[in-house]
Amino acid sequence: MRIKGRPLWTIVSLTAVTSALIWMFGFGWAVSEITSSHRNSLQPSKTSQEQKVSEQKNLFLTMGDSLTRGTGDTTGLGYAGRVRQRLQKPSSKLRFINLGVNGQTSHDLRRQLQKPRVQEFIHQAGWVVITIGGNDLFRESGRLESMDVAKIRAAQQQYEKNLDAIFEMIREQNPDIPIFIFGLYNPFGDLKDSRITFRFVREWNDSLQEAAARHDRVVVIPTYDLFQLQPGKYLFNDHFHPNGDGYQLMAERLLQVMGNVDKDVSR
Amino acid sequence: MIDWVPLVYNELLKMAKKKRLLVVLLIVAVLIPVFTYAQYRTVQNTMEQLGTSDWRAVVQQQIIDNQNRLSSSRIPKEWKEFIQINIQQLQYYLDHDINPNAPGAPTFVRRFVEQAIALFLPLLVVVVASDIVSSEHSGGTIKLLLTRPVRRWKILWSKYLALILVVSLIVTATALLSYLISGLIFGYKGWDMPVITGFQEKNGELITTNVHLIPQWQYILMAYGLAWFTCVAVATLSFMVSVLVRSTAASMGIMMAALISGSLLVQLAPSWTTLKYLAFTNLQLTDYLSGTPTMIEGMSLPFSLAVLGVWSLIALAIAFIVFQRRDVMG
Repeated sequence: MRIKGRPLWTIVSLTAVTSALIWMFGFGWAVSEITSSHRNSLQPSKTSQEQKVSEQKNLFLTMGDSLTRGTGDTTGLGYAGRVRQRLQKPSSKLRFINLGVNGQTSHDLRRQLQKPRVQEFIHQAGWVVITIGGNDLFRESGRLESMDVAKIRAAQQQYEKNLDAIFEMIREQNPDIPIFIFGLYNPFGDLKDSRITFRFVREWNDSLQEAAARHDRVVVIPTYDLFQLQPGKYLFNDHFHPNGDGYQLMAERLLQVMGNVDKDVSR
Repeated sequence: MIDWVPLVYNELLKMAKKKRLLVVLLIVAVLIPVFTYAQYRTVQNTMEQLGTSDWRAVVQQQIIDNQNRLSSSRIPKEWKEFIQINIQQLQYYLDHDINPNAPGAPTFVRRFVEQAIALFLPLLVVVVASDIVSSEHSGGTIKLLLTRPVRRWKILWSKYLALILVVSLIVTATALLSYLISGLIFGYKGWDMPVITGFQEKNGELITTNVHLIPQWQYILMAYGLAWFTCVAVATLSFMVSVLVRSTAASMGIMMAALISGSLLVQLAPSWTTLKYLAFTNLQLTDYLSGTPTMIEGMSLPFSLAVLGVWSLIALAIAFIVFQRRDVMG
């Protein structure tokens, strides 16, 4: 036998042989690369980070717990998404970042704020909106049926301390932007013993107000009244998170106190 | 000494002249624009949602989204560990200021092979490999082939070598086409971009002691080398099936079912660790390069290579023994 054929097939065969050799080589390289150990030579590169920081405060930053995430809203928007829908226009340069984490407590939020990336976002932010405390009150301090007063009081003090720390950390990064924080509401208003739960929510809201008053430009947006008379109407099936209508009410309140956003951006 | 070269060349010609290879290349050429567009849409979509093209914001949002997935109680334990390691890895990208998804055709080429290695490329390989011997049966040409004054095992060996060459061609074509086509949208630059590699996982913790940067071209070469090995292993297995089963359709069906159920099983039952000894659960070799945690515990590159290697050797042995002893005159 002898090799006889058109040049096309010779080229095809040669290409095949060459690619087989190349990939074989790549495979060998990969195996030695993965199995051998390397010295870790990576250093955090701070320089490019600092260059990137935009001086324009056009970031709408929302942080906190499942309320910020939008849990219970069947459209998945939550108050953050609804505000965004209202504010976002093709022409505007607004940016939106939602750092809400389900189940977050004030303690977790404090820890989240220590991350350099999160701090940089705060630095770039024009508005910070927070929901925090619901998990502290209703999860950390024990189940509702067996609410331990001493435990709740301790948690409340810790909550106020954490809030102070949170506001301070935000101010460190960004001394003059407004901070909006939603007040707490009572999801159990239509159950028996609602007098007790209402009392605790009121006391915790007092703590929230007090902590907010100790810092400049911190705005507390009440939600207590929204869910007071008809909790069922504005709450999701889980009887804890707001539903779409509930989030809509929260979004409208936030928009009211935020004022004219467009003017601020073009500033 | 080199009397096998014409044999291999002959087999290669037989495969290349069939419509089958052309169809495979056509599939690649049609699907890559679709994938390119999909990738483009995803990037546009995240940019729209966040109102920013800053990749740091995107990665941070990914971390938060992953954290929220963690807090759902309906996720199996193995998935949770997987997500946790993913979060750590994303955090590492942020801390070291490395963009994992920098735009550019080379990035697409890299991401494409990472996605295609488990199912897409093996399926293409099965299409060309499954009829290599069985088509001689169904076409009746096997008798003509075996009446030549060449030993049977040499014929089979040359078929196997030709198959490997065709598989190499397919891998090359995939790399080239994905580069050329995606470059139209993403631009052709980015070969020198640093890519992070060396992530390791131990007991649900991410180990970063071996993490280092390599230029993207090097990463791509290695990733396609691994993909090539996967494809060769799949080709070897379908080669055996093609010897055992006389109908091309049946051998293709068997291989496709095996491939798809392999990738399905890992998703369905990550806690069933015996699965890791199957060949088709070890195809995702690029995961070891990118540091993507494996779904089943206790898998590493040497392990996966050993599993694939053992399966391939057994398959080859069976193929040769059966082919040598088979009565084809009936």
